[in-house]
Amino acid sequence: MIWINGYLNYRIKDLYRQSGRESSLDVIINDDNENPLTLLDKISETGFQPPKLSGLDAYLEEQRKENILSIWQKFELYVKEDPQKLLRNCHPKKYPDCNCQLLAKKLFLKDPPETLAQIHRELQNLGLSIPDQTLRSHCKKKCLPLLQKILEDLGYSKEEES
Amino acid sequence: MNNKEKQPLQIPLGIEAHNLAGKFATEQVNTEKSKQVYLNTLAVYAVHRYLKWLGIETDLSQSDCWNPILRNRWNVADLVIPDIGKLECCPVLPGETTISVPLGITEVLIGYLAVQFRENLDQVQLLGFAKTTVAGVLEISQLRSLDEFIDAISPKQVNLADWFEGIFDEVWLPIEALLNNQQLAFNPRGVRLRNVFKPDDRDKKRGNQEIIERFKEITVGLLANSQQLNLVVSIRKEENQELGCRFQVYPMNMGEYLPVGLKLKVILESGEAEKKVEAGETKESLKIRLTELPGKPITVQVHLDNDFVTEKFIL
Repeated sequence: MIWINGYLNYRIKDLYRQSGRESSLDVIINDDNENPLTLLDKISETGFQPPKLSGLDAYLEEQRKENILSIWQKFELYVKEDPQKLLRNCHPKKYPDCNCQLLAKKLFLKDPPETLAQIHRELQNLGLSIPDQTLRSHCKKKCLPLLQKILEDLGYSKEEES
Repeated sequence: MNNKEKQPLQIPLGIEAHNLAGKFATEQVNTEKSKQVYLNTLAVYAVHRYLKWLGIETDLSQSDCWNPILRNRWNVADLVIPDIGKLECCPVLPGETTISVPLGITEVLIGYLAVQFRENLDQVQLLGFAKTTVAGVLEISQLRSLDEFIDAISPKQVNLADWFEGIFDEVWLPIEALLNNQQLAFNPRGVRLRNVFKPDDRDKKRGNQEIIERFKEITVGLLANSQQLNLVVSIRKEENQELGCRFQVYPMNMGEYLPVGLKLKVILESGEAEKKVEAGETKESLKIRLTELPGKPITVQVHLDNDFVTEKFIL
């Protein structure tokens, strides 16, 4: 097992060394021997022209979603008011103070926002002995999905993301 | 680095990369932020493609920059490599020789990959790797080769022989930290604690060799049902050169019961043996012990539902 891992490690390194010289838009991206398709073909086929770095600002300004500002404003207001107490009721069993509203305010509404490590230190200083892992996992697995659902309910559309 | 390795690696950026970057960017409320998100997304996507092509799995959905709220409020360009950690993909604009790395919401565990942009956004170059920043700044000329990056993301094994030398990775905490935490936390059956780590009868028979005992916090289980547990590893030199090991799983709050169906598995790397124990209704800990010659690789897994956590050790 060890030597196989070692071998694979070197093989991987070899592969990427070669690639430095070889990758380009002419790389064939399908398995069809008779009609090879290169990345360049794909780009030109769809008429897609990536924006230039210097033109990026104008390009993005043109594309900006119309109602996006109002969605973020509604979201901030929702977090502050938490009208259905959904956020305040979302907390690890033994730590009601470490609820989603408190975390969301610190992580997203404060300027500059606080990191999880900072928040953990503050809670400790307040005498809340929540383990760091519990805080992180609560934030990631409970708060973020809840906040994202709220954002979607306020009009944010997720669409395809992968 | 030799010259061959110094040749920068080009990664093409196709329509799918630009579509994603465009979608994420146009959710932002001003142009400066949109541009930051656009370039961050391209940088992360390029590294994701590169790793995919090397056969290394990444999880974009777990990356902060793939979360609409996090990327809106933070300057994030992170990429999660499951079981290994988190990588920051830092965009470098033409002419930049240093880049300042933004503070992330969660710490970066693996390091930073610098991604060079140029006027044409049809491709980027991977410039190199750094494990840490100097006061939040990366010096392009000081970057390490991509070789070192690949070493850094190769799965880590804990060499238990190091423990006898007093060398521990920071995630493996002294057992006293666990006991101290417990005394602070609410603990309905606190009395039991004092007995948990006492050598049991089998230990007593084997003389007075020093026992080294460390623990690591692990999280296993799917979403709402995920559980935080402590994996405790105790080792001791035995007679005839062998190493005695004990692997134990405890709930985060000692004295509580483990989730029903939780399994602890110890697999000898050669596949020659596997030990497994499972928690029933009122189990406070799971334990597997074994005695082997030093140098053997073993894998310890904790399973719950369809999820599991893996820790690899060299005895």
